[in-house]
Amino acid sequence: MFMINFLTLIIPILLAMAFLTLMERKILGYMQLRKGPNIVGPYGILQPIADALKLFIKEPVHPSTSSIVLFTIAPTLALTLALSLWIPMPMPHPLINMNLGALFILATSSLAVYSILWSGWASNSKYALFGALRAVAQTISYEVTLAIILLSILLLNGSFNLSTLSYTQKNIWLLLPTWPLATMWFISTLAETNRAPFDLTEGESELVSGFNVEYAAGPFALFFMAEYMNIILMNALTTIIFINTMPNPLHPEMFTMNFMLKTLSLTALFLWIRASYPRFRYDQLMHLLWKNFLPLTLALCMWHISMPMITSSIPPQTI
Amino acid sequence: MILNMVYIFSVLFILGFICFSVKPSPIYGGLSLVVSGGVGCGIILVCGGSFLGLLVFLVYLGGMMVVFGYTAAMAMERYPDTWLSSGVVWGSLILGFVAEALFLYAWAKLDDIEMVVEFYNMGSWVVYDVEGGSVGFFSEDPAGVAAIYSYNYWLMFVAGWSMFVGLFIALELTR
Amino acid sequence: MNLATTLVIYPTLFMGTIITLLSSHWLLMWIGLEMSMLAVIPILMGKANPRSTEAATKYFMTQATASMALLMSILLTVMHSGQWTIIYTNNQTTSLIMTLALLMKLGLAPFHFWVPEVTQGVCLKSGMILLTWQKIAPLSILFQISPVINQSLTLTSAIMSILLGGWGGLNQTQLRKILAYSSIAHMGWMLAALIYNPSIMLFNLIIYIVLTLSMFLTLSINNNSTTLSLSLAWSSSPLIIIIILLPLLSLGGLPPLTGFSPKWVIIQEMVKNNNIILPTFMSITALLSLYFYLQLTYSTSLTLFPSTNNTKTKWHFQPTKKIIALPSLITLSTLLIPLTPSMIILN
Repeated sequence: MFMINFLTLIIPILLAMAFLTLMERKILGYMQLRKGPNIVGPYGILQPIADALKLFIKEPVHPSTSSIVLFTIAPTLALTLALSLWIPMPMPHPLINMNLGALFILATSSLAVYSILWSGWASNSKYALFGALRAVAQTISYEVTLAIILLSILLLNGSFNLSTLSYTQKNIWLLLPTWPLATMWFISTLAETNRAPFDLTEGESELVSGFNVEYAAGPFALFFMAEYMNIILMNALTTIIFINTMPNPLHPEMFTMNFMLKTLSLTALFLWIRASYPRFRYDQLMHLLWKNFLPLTLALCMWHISMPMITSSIPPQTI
Repeated sequence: MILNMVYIFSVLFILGFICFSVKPSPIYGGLSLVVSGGVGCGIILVCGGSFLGLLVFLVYLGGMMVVFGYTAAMAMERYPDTWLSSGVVWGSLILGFVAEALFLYAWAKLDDIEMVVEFYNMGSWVVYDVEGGSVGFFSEDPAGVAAIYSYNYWLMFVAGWSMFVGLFIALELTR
Repeated sequence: MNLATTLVIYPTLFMGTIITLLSSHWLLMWIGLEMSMLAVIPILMGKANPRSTEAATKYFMTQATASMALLMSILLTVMHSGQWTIIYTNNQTTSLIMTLALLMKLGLAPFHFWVPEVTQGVCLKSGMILLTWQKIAPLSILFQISPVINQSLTLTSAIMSILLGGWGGLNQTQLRKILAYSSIAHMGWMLAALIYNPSIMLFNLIIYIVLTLSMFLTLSINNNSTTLSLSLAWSSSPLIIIIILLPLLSLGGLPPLTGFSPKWVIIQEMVKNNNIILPTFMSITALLSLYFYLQLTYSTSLTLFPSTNNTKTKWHFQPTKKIIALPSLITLSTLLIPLTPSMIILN
C-alpha cells in the first residue's frame, strides 16, 4: 500500500517535470516569435520523452581526474532530495503528515546545496568549481530570507504543519495581508532555484555551464530533472503558503485541481520572467539580499511576532 | 524497529567519524562530517526529538556548508588524494572498520559489554500534561526552547556571549 | 593585539574561570571552562609566529579533547542521576572519565606532554597566565568532586607527575620548560593532597600561584628565556641575583621559605592517614626538582658567569620596565612560612 502511495506521488511529479521542460521551450519560443520544438509527435509533445531517451542511452562519461564516488553521488543526491521534498506537501493530503513539515522542507532543501557543491568540486574543473561556489553562495544567502519569511508566515499559522495553512487562509489569501513578504518570497524562490534573472551559476559567457559543465548523459539528466522538480516544488510551496484555500471534504479533487492550476500559473510566471529580464550582476544579487531583503524580512518578522500578541489573535494551534 | 534504526544509525555515525579521522583531503573530511552530522540528527529524530533533530540538521548543515565551501575552494588540486590513494590511509580506514566490526560482534555475542548509554524511545521526549482535567501531551524539545527564553535568559546570555567570543577569536586568529 | 580584542578577550578569560567557580550547574561549569580555554588562545598566539601558533594549536587540541571527555562524563552523570547539579554518585565510569579529562586539562601525567611544549612556545606573560590562572578552574572542579574521585587513579597520576616533573626538568636550559616541569610536579603534589584533604590542595594552589607569578615576573624584567641569558642578567640588573635565589629555592621547597609549608602540610596529612610510603617517595622525587632549581640558582646567583668586559657595564642604564607587585610577591613567596600553623588549624 505504501509503495502505491509512493508511486502515485512520484510518477505525476516526474511527468510534470518532463512536460515543464517542453512548456518552457514552447513558451520561450513563442515569446521570441518562433515555434519551439514541433517535430517529435503532435506539437512536439513527445519531445521530453525523446530527450530523456537520448540522455539515458548515452554513455555516462566522467573526467579522468574527477573523483568518481562524489561525481556519481552528487546527481543521485540531487534527485533524491528533490523527490523527498514533496513528502510533506499537502495536496490536500501529504504522503507523510509531519508536524514539522515546514522545518523538514527547509532542512532538506538546504541539503540540496551540497549536491551542487560536491558535483562542482568532484568535476575537478575550474569552471565547475567556480560555478558551484557561486551557486552555493547565492543559494545559502537566499535561504536565509526564505527561512525568515517562512517563519513570519508560520507565526500567523501557529504551527510548522503545512496542512494547517489552508485553514489559516479560509477567509483570505495570505498574499493580500502579507504582500511585501510574498513578493520577497517569490523573488527569493527565483534565486533559490537558480532561475533567470538569477542564473549566475550557469552564466554561459563566463562559466560555460556552471557546476554541471563536466556532466553528460544520465547524471546530467538527473541534475536537470532535480532542477525542474525544484521549480515546481517551490511554486507549490508558494501556492500553499500564500494563495491556498480550504479543501472541501466532499470534493477533495477540486482542491487538487485548484492547487495545481495556481502552481502552474506561477511556474508560467517563472518562464515569463526568464523571457523578459536580463541577468543580474553578482554583486547586485548579493546586495539585493543582504542590504534590502534581510533587514526588511527581519523587521517584518518582528512585526509578525508582536502583531498577533498585541491584537491577541494568536493562532489556536500554537503550542 | 526504532531500536534497530538507532543501532544502524549509530554504526553509520561511528563509521563516518572513522572516515573523517583518516581523511585524505579536506573535502572528504567535510563529506564525512556531513554524513555523520546527518546521521546524528537522524538518531535524534528516531528517538522522538523531531524539532531538535530538524533544527540541528538545519543549523549544523548550514554552518558546515560554509566550511565546505571554503575547503572546496582551498582544496583545489589536480589529483586530490582519496582514501584509496595512500596505503597508510586505506590501511587505517580498514583497521577502523575492522575494530568497529569486532566491537559490534563482541557487543552482539558476548554479554560482558555493558551499554553506557541506553536509547530511550518517545518516553523521554514527551511531557504529559494532566492539568485541568484534560489529558494532553506535547513534545519536550519545543517546550525546552520556550523555557530557555523565559526563565533561563541569563543562560542564553552566557551561551550567546561564548558563541560571539568563539567567532571573534576565530576571526582574530585567522586575521 | 589591539584594544578591542583585549577588551573582549581578557574579560572572557576572567569570566570563564569565575563562572566555573561560581556555578553549581554542570553545563555552566563546562561553558566556563570553554570560555577561558577559547579566550586564552589569542593570548598564547601573541604576535603570531609559527612556534606560538603551534603552541596554541597544541593547547587547543588537548583542551578540546579534555572538554569533550568532560562533557561526555557530565552527560553520563545526568543520565544516571537525572539532575545537573553536582551530586555524589558511586558511578565509577563517569567519575573515571571526568577525572581523566580534568587531569588532561591540568597537564598531569600521563597527559603532561603538552605542558612544556606549549609553555616553551609562548611568551613569558602568556606562559604565566597558562601556568597560573588556567589551573584554577579545573582544580576547582576537582575540589568539588573530590569525595567521589577514584583514589588509586589520582594517587598514581600524582606520583607519576611528581616523578616526571622532576625528571623532565633535568638538563633543561630553557627557563619556560623548567617552569612547566615544575608546574607538573607541583600539580602532582596538589593531586596527592586532594584525596586526603581538599583544602590543603587549595592552600598549595595559592602558594604555587604566588611562587610562579614571582618567578615569571622576575624573568620578565630582562625577558630571560634561557639559563645562559639569566646567568648574564646580573650585569643589567644586579638585584636579580638575590631576588631570583629565594623564590627558586622556595619553589624547590626548602624549609625556611614559603614553598616548604604546603609540602610539610601535605606530608603531615598523608602520614596522619597512615600513608607512609607515598610521602617518602614523593619527598625523594622532589629532590629531582630541587636539583634543577639549584642548578639554576647556581648559574644565576652563586657563581659569576665568564663574560666580556663590555657586558659588565650594562647596569648603568636605568631599567625601563616597571614590574608592579614584584616586591610584595617576592616577600610572600619567601616569608610566608609562619602562617603555616594557621593553615593547619583551618582545615
